[in-house]
Amino acid sequence: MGAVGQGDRASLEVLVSRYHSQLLGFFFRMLAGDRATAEDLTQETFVRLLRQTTYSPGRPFRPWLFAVAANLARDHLRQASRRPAPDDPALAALEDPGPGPEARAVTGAVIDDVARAVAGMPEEYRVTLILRYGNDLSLEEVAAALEIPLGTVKSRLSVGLRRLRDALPAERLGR
Amino acid sequence: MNESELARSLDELTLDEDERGVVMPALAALAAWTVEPTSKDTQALIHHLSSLLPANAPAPTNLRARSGVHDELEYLISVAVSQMTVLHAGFWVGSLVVMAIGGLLAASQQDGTRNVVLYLAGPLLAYIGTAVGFRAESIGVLEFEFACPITPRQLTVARLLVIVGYQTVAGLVMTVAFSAVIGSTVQQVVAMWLAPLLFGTGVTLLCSLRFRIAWAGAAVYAGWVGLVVLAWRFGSMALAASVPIEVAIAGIGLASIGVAVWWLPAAMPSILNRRRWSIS
Repeated sequence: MGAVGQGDRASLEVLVSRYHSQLLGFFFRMLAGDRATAEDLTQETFVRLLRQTTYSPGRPFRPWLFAVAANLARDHLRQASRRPAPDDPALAALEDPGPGPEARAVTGAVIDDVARAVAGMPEEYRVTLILRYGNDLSLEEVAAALEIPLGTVKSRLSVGLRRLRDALPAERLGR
Repeated sequence: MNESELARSLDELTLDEDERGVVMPALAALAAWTVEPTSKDTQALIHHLSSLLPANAPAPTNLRARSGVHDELEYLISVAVSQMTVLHAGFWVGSLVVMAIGGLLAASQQDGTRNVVLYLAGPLLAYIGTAVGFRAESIGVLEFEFACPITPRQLTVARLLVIVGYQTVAGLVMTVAFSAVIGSTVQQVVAMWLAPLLFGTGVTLLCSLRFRIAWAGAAVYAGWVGLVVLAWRFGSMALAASVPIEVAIAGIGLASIGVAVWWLPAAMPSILNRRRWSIS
């Protein structure tokens, strides 16, 4: 990160190659399969990295990166929730919180149901579940990224998993 | 996250076996629910971000790495310490000699003349300090400022700390040493040289944004000497040495320092042009 800050293009390539997929996946899940917006926010995350003033060498990079990403996702979701509901049915379909057309096309029925269940969760549970199980951050990394205590991470995960289980159709879970 | 890793991750939580069996496939599906960027997407992103990369900015990176008042203060002190090596021995010794001579003269004079001596000593220190420490041509301070990754404003503040700090400490030591002989209180004597020192330093720095530092320092000191001599000749030294006047003098000095430090970055191009002109 230090080399990128000094204008080193090679280091930038390494940084982007390493985290592009992880960030895109994070935003894709957070935004319920809206790939276009996920790509925009992924790019915005990297732009903020280049312009950042809060990162210090020695600080774990990945939690800090996802802290930036989580804040962007949160801001986007809040702005989206404040927008008035569209009257046009076609526009309403675009605002569908379920997985996007691409996700529906490439994923199976279970993923489709999980995507809908996660999309319907409150944001704090959604981001915690996605960081831990979607992006494979450790509990400590999730706590650092969201700037919450470790106990809160565990509690959010427990509640989030129960909500996920309750939101899924019984046949998907063998119930 | 594969199945065994997922199972291990669930050990972190207090889930019973049934719950684990239910959420495992859901979490596997959550991990699988993603999109991958194409290599073309990644290259396009790198291309876009490359245009935003700083051209060659080790200093801003260093500066960005610090956050918080404590870090800034620590950094300022480290810069100030490094600035001590830039200054000639002549500055350190010269300042001390001026204070010692000033102290001796003040101790040997009556009240009116003593005030004159102290009023002349402070700005003389300011002249020495600013002429040597700020953009002094003899030691290439201006070139150092341009070559240095630290900003000119940071350098100026750090150098002010060193120069004014050293002169103030040296002055305090001399004042304490001579206070018994002088007869006045330490506070009174300190105010007599500290206020003019701040005034001389501030006004000289301010003028140096427009004129060469040596000329600015000489002009300010000459003007100050003229004012003090006039006040002395017309018997107004008691008024000139009164507390409100001293506070006003010190205030003008501090305000001038603030303005000079604030305007310095904008004035740097014209300062460089003057330097080029004087070299050619």
